[in-house]
Formats: sequence, structure tokens, C-alpha cells
Amino acid sequence: MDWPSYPPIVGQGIIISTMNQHGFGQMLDGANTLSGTWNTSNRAVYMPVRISEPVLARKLFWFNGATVSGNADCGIYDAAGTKIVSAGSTAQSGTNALQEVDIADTLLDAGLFYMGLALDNTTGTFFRLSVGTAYRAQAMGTVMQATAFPLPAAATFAAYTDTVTAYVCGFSGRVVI
Amino acid sequence: MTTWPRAYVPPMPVLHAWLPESLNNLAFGTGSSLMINTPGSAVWPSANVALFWPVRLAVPVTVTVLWWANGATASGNVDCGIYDAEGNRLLSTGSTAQTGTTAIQSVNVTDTVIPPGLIYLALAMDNVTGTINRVVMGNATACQLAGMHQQATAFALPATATFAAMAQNYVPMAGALLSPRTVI
Repeated sequence: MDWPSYPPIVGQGIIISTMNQHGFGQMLDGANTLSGTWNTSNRAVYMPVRISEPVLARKLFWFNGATVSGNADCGIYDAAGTKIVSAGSTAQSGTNALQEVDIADTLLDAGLFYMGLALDNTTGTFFRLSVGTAYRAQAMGTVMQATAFPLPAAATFAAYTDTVTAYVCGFSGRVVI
Repeated sequence: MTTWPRAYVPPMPVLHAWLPESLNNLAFGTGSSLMINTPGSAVWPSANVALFWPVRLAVPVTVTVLWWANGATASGNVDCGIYDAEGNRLLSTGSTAQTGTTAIQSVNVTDTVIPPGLIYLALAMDNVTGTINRVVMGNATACQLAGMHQQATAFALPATATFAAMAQNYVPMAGALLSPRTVI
């Protein structure tokens, strides 16, 4: 048995995103990523990302769409749904661009995490990928939580009911993304 | 760093064929990957046939739920399971009435630890009226080359699988949910 020195398949990057090899990047067609409104006010969406080596998380980011409004929150959760770090309620600003938030440097060991993203309104937009049906999003490991703005200390994962699988967000091991 | 002790790919919370550690590094489909945005509803290829597709686990995992994505029509019974590399069944749902359309059907199972290494996810159906969401990979040979197998007359899923050459162009959307998750 070759465990535990099993070779990694995913190349470890310094930018950990829902849409690169750490998230859905090898399973979804990112060419279909478009600006779209948030489905439900104060809903949080949790999307799995995985890292094969420890990373010192220094920034959180998300990808605003064509319209910004109200406040967003982005955070990192462990596999059990416990919040590790988050931006806190942050005015959404800048269209068609990454919005970045400095966080206290946070060491994450290798493993599975969830990127949490929430918005307090349905006017603001994010770049995100729709796969057409909720069950495809469920199969990707996406879960959600109602009335979860700002992001709670402990997530309660509920079955995902929207057709948007991947909102572009993540964290960086570098200060400059 | 080649000797880094944690240089493995942690599993995603949901196992299925679209993972890079399953068919996605092996198959040719849409572009270079088997994209999950392309499945469609289709009848099961043959009554009582079981399909098997490989997944490589880097670490032990605990399975809490087995699931499959029903298509536009539900009929008869489905069985979903996991086998080891030698074809020994590790767990399965047993024959389960197919219920619900265009949605995931899930079955809670006794939490079961699966050791690292090569495993096979398996799905079988006892009729050709019910539908599953699936991807076609071009032809059956593509499925063969990706490591898929089949077994005729294998409903409910047998305790020991006899892997035969894959003759279907059919990758089912089905798999397992891993602890600590219990909600898919």
C-alpha cells in the first residue's frame, strides 16, 4: 500500500479558488462563468476546496459581477463546518473585478475546507457558474444555509437548491493576488 | 518537496466519476475533461447490468450516504455500492425503489470506513424504463480505457463482482458522500 506517501494529483497552488484545481476547476467548464445576482438575501453558500500542503492564508477574495450592492462576507470553514476565518460584513465595491480583504495570517493544514460566501441582498452580483440543475451542484459538494449573514461561527449545511454551482472566491497565500 | 508527509490530495466531500482521481484524468469528453455540466437523462443500458467505475483514494474515508441522480423517469429498483480493487463489495444500498425525477436520490448507510487505494463505485438497475443522469464519453471503448467495467445479471449488486469488459457508453452520475457530511 502506497499510503500515506500517495502522490498528489492536484498541483498545489498559492491561490486557492473554487474555480481552480483546488475546487471545481477540473470538473466544470469555467468558460461558462458569468455575472449573476445572488439568489436569496442573507443566504450563505459553501463550496469545497482542498489543499495538499499547508498554506498560510493571507487574503480572501471574491469576484464581483457587473453590479455591486450592499454587503458581502467571505470565509474559510473546516470540513465540519466550523469557521476558521472570515472577512466579516464588507461593503461590496468594484464591478467586474476581484474584491480582496486582508485577514490575519492563518495557517491551514492540508485537507478539505469550504469557502463560504454570503450577500445581504439580491441586487449585487458575482461571477459564478451555473450548471442548470441543483443536483449537479449537489454532486459537486455545494451546500447552503439560510439566514447566514454575516457568516456564522458554525455552518449548518443544508441541501443546495440553486442551479449555480460555483461562485468565484477563495484565499491567497500571497498578499498580492 | 518530494518527501512532504502530507503530499496527498484530500478527498472532496462527494465521490463521483467527475473527480480528477476518478475518470476525469483518464477520460476524453468535452475538451480534456469529463465536465459535470453535460449529463443528460437516459434509460439504463440493460436490465440488471451493473456498471463499475474507479476512484483512487489517497486516505481512508468514511462513507455516510450513497446516492445517484435520477433522470426524467423513475421505475423499478436501483442498487448503489462500493467495491474494492479485487471486486469485493464493501457496502451497498441493496435494492431500492427508484423514486423522484431529475433529482438526487440518496440512501443513508451505516458509516463505513473505506481504506485508501483503488475502489470502484457501482450502480445497477433492474429495468430499462427508469432513467439516470449520465454522460456519454464518445463510445464504449472510451469508457473501457477510463477503467470502467460492467457485469451482466448483477442486480442486486453481488457480494463479489466479476468485472467484464465495458460495452456501454454510459457514465452514471452516482457516488458516495463522505463524513462528516450527512447532507448531500
